[in-house]
Amino acid sequence: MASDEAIARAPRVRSGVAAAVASRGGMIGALRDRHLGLVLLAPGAVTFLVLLVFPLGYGIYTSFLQRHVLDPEGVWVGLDNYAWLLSNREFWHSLTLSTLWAGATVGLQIILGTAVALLLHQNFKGRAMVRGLVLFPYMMPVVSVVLVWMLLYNALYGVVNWLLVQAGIIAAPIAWLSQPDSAFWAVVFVGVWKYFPFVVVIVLARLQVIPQDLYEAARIDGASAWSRFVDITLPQLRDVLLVVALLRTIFMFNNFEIIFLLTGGGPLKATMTLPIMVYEQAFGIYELGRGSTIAVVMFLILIAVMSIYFAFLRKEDS
Amino acid sequence: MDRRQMLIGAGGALGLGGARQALAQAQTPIRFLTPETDPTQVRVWQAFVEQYGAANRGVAIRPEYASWDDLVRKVSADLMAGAPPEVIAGSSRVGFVAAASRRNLLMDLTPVVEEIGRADFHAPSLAAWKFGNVQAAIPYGMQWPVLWCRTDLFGEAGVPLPTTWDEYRAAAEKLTSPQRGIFGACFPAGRTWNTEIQAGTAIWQAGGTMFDDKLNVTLDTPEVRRAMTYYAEMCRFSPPDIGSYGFREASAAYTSGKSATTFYWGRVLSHLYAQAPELLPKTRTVHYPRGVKQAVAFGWDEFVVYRGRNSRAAMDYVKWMLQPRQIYAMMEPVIAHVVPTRNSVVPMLQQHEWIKKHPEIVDTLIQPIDFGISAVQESPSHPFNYKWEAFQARNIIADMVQRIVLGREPVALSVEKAQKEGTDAVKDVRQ
Repeated sequence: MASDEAIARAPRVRSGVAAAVASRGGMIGALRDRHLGLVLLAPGAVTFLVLLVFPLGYGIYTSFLQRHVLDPEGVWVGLDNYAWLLSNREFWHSLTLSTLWAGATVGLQIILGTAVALLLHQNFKGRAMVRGLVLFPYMMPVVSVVLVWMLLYNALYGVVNWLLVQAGIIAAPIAWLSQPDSAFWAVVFVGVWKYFPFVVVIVLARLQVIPQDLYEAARIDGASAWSRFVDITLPQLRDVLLVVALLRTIFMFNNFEIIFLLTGGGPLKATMTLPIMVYEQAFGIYELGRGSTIAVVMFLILIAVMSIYFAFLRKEDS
Repeated sequence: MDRRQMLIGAGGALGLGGARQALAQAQTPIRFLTPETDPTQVRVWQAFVEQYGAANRGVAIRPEYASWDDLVRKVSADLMAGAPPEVIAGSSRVGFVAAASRRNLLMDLTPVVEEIGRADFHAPSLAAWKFGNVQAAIPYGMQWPVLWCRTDLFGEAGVPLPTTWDEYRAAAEKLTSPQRGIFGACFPAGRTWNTEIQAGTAIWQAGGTMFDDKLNVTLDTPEVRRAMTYYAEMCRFSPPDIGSYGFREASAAYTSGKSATTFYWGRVLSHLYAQAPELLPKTRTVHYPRGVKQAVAFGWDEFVVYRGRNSRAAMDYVKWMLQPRQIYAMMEPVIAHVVPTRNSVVPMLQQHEWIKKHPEIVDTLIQPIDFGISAVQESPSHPFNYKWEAFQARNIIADMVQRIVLGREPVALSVEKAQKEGTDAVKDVRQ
């Protein structure tokens, strides 16, 4: 009732302000009022321009230059860097690896994260503590995680090899991070382990607001646990999982530190994803222009992924 | 405490905080970057910061640390941002420093050399870092790796400490026992600088070079193929994860007792004291087993000053660090890792307890050698190799090793590819 009164009073208040402005300053007051909006918007706009538009524009501009790190001035080469990139086998190899890396880590994070969230949604003793512990990998700094996993994977004194040898699963220690065949999946495993708690948190939050009536009605109708999961839980989680998939894909596609710290892109470029290739070109070989070109192409790929996602959402809404 | 006292206290604290901030702003900041990051060395750098800061109130030294393999990349990124560290200690990258000097990014340190006294320096070391008329860096230590050997394991196997490739190959085979978790050799195959150094040394020992005296790439030769064949054979007797080995791992393989031998510089002595003192009586070093000739990678640790607002203050700091007491303090935690380039420091080094106690370990590390080779000048008939940095940046040698050792690529094919990659890498490099 009170809000209805406020709404009814609002036009009178606004006209009162307008009258006061007119009486105090006339045109000048109205101008000040308009400028006030601009003034209030300015900090945000400047921040946006300086921190987003300028670096992006500068990166795009650099991608048209041949520029050595030690040379402040670059040479304009037009689209040469893009032509080089598209004809470069390493780029296509890295693009494939990046896609596989993002797909594998995000897919496994979602499967594992959802499974763990479903478990943590059940009532059991010590649930609060387990929910806290599950967040542990996500809260640890990446560098610490990587150092721990490097030790675990170590072929001479790593626990992973020791356990596998003791269990009779393997005969001799495996050099997980040093062999082209195993390095990629060893790195994927760390990527999944580190970030699956993000999915747990989001999915668990959604699980807690699914109306229980739906499950009760299904039980009365004789639906099995699997049917309840497939017909009620999954459809209810669908929107959340789509958002998680998008966010995680962007993040994992751009992820640099896990792979760089574990393998540096090796061995034999078996883990050379696009962000590592950017770093390698820009600061390893000092070809800043080419490094920027790869970064711009990565940006365009992510824009395309986002566009597909939003187009899909719009279609769903309509 | 009443309200009034509390307000006075708060005001005082705020004032003190503000004063400290104002002092920090008034000081001349000097960024100091180094890859010398053993915990004992870091303590020395921190002590320097405090001592120098106490004696020079207007200067604030800000230490930064990076790994050996990432140092140049970090400097590159800082150069792009227009703010390189003022002082770098121990990059050991002659090619990169020469390239930076050519582009006038470095201060000429000749005045520092003159003020200290040129006569006290090891002249060839100073000359190695002089490009044109510019003393681009001042080396404070020179170094070369040796072969660290477990005498107890050699004794058990009944083999002598190796002096030639054949002896080493035979010994490594006998010493290797995967069941016991012991490996006879430790040849790195990571995409790392250490791999490049060890493989480069094998090439020189086989009588080959990476560049000829006209600075053309010379990898596709019988000598390089012989060196790579030997390298691949020795990798069979090395730990299984050598595919990711750099400096740290090669040292750790020895100090953990898993590797009966490893190529490394003198730093291992301090690692043994800290991590595995029980191995000290069982350890001896020998020079690299020779191929058709004896050769080893010769390098330096040096100070470089980048141009910037505070370069003059940075040069003063470098001059201070080059005083005998400071140089010795820098070397003491990793004694025998480098030999001082200042003659006046050498007697101090020789008085160190570890040096006197372990002649069987340190003699090869501190007695002068005449078979050291620098990658930027592979023989007296070679000119300074201004193409080396571009070649090194592309990891041509390490990639070649990885293809052979991890990818099982035939040596001849891999060497041929490396020749092509190397030629491409340097074709546009101009002096």
